[in-house]
Amino acid sequence: MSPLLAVARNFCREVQRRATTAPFILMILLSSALLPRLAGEDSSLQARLQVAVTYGVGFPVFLIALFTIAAAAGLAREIESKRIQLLVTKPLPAWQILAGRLIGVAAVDTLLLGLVLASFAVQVRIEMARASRTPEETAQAVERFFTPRAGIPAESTPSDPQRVRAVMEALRSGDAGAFESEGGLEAVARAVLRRRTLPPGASTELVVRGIPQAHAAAEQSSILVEFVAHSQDPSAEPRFELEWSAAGSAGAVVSRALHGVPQQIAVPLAAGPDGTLRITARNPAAKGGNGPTLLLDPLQVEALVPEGSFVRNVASAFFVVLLECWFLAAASVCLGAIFTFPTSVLTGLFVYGAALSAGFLRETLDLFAADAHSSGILPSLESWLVALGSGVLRVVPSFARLDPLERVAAARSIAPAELGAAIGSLGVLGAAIPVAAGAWILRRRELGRAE
Amino acid sequence: MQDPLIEIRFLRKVFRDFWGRPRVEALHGLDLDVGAGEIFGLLGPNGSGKSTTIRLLLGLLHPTSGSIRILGGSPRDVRLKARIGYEPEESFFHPHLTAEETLLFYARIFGLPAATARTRATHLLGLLGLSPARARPVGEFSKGMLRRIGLAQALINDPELVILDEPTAGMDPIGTREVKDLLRDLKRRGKTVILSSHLLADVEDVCDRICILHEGRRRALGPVRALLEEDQRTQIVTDRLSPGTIEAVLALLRDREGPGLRVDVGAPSTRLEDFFLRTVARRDSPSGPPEGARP
Repeated sequence: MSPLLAVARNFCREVQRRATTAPFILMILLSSALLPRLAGEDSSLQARLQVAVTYGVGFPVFLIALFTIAAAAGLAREIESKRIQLLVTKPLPAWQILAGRLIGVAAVDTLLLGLVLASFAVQVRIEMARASRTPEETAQAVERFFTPRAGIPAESTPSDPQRVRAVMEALRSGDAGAFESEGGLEAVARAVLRRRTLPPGASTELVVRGIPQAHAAAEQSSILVEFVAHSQDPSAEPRFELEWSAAGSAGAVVSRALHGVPQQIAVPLAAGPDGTLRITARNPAAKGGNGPTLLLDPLQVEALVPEGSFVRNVASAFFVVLLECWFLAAASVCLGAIFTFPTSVLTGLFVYGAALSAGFLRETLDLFAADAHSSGILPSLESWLVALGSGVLRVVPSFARLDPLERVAAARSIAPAELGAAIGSLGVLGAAIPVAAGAWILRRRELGRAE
Repeated sequence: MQDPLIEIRFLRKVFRDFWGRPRVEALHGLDLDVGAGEIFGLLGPNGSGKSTTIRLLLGLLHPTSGSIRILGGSPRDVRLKARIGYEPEESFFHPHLTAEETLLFYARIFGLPAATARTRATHLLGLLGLSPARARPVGEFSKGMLRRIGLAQALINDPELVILDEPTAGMDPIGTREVKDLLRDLKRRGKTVILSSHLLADVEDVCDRICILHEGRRRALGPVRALLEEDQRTQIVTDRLSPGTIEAVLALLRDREGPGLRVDVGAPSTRLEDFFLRTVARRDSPSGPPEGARP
């Protein structure tokens, strides 16, 4: 056995023999089994399954992430208790001390996530076996929970930069500009230019290209479309109707939507052999009447195409969670080589929080930067904080970009390319950089004090 | 000394506080050589710089100035550490591991093949009297047992250089004697041992040369016998003499050396350690006579 694996195995043995391990595992299993009960008895099967993912898996995963941070940062305790001195005096390079611990933490995480996965499988079986389920409910769950789908957005014409700038100026002079950062303002301007306006009785055609041949074939009678529509005056008309029909099909689907709330509908499938689906959205309110004017952003209309199996999607999601834990462990083990144990754990939690809310933090920082004054001591501090925050966000990967549990709950597939990107950013770079940095510091750090 | 195994030149170590201000100067320009195959004792009161010197030798601390060469290289060379065994002053072990697992863990760190690791671990556990406790977690060990397992892990790689920080602290006299015998055996096998200890009798018994440190400075260095020898006095030890013979010898001495000669006459006393070990050995022997106060 290599020295690296010896360190990893020693860590696993330590966890196995710790008195707190059994209660922790019990807590994971209990939360995994009991939290799905949060969904009311009258909830639909799909809703109950979604709760099982969001809480029954989400909370245990949160506990495992906390364990990961504390366990990896335990390197600081090894240093404080001087136990590290014996390791450092052996022919073991510093990076192997860190990497060994990282592998050990990852091995324990894999086992814990395996338990959560097994518990989730049991939950799903229990839900499916309930006698009170109707065939329609089961069919809906199969279509909207157990069939992972990839979203293909409708085509939209790229916005002319000059027009974008003009809209941005107009927004800036109005109320909206006061609450948006520069980046946010540009996104709003592009959405304004992209969106289709549907007065009562008006219709618009949306084109979705690239639907795989297997789904364009006539085996399926309909395809799921997810859309977000807006009412021009949401305070007066938050609820409205939209009529959908696919080119070449006889039927139409009337959908009742809420302003800004994502809605899934099944439209008759009429994708051509080239994989192009043309769907028409129509405002069914009487033309010339005082019904609501609807707004539709093509990028918020997606054809949901089945991709891969449920089992594969769940496996991919758990693998991404494991990669996130792997990154957290690498970051915490690096922190443990620098700081004391409490500081390492707190900083590790900060990294976790930053990774979870990276998108929100980035927008906040942009807003902060846009709002910063030009001179004085306070603005300098603000600029310094913005620079620091931006630096942190540049280093910390965003967990929100690919939220694996949200994907499973919403039956959205995790594409192989996304999985590859996660392996690259979290699994390779996210581990190699912290371990290298931690080893560099540990090599230079003095392990002893004046006595 | 030919080809020293350790060369320390003008070694200074200043410990600094958080702000980089000098706090303690632990070593003031130490010069020291340790030759291959000798048992070298590092002596000094608390805070004299013994542990700092050892940590500098092991690369745990970095010198402020001066140089250290150990086994022909830098103390921070990872490859050289495969040839060194170290027993720290305190026993820093994983409390959840058993004695055997602890030794196997360190054997794996040295990259020993599984069979060799197991053989050596079994041998060392037997040698240091830990065989009955091989399956007990180290966290349950007494201080003396911890010193033993510490010594065992220091020897698991059959090192060329063994550095021991207070190896007999907390051990009973039998254990101390076993450790001293083990050190002599290491010397016979050509190993070099650096020993730091407060127990002067132990150092005197096993060390070839010693260095006495005080306040970070070298106060004495040389072979133990040469440093302890009182070259202005002579001692003759014989079997018990009758009072008449003693008077005759004293008369002869004064006659030859002059009336001012200082002479002490008395029965030489044995060392307490030897007396204790003899006593315990007799008690352990079924035929041995009981000692102590009789009714």
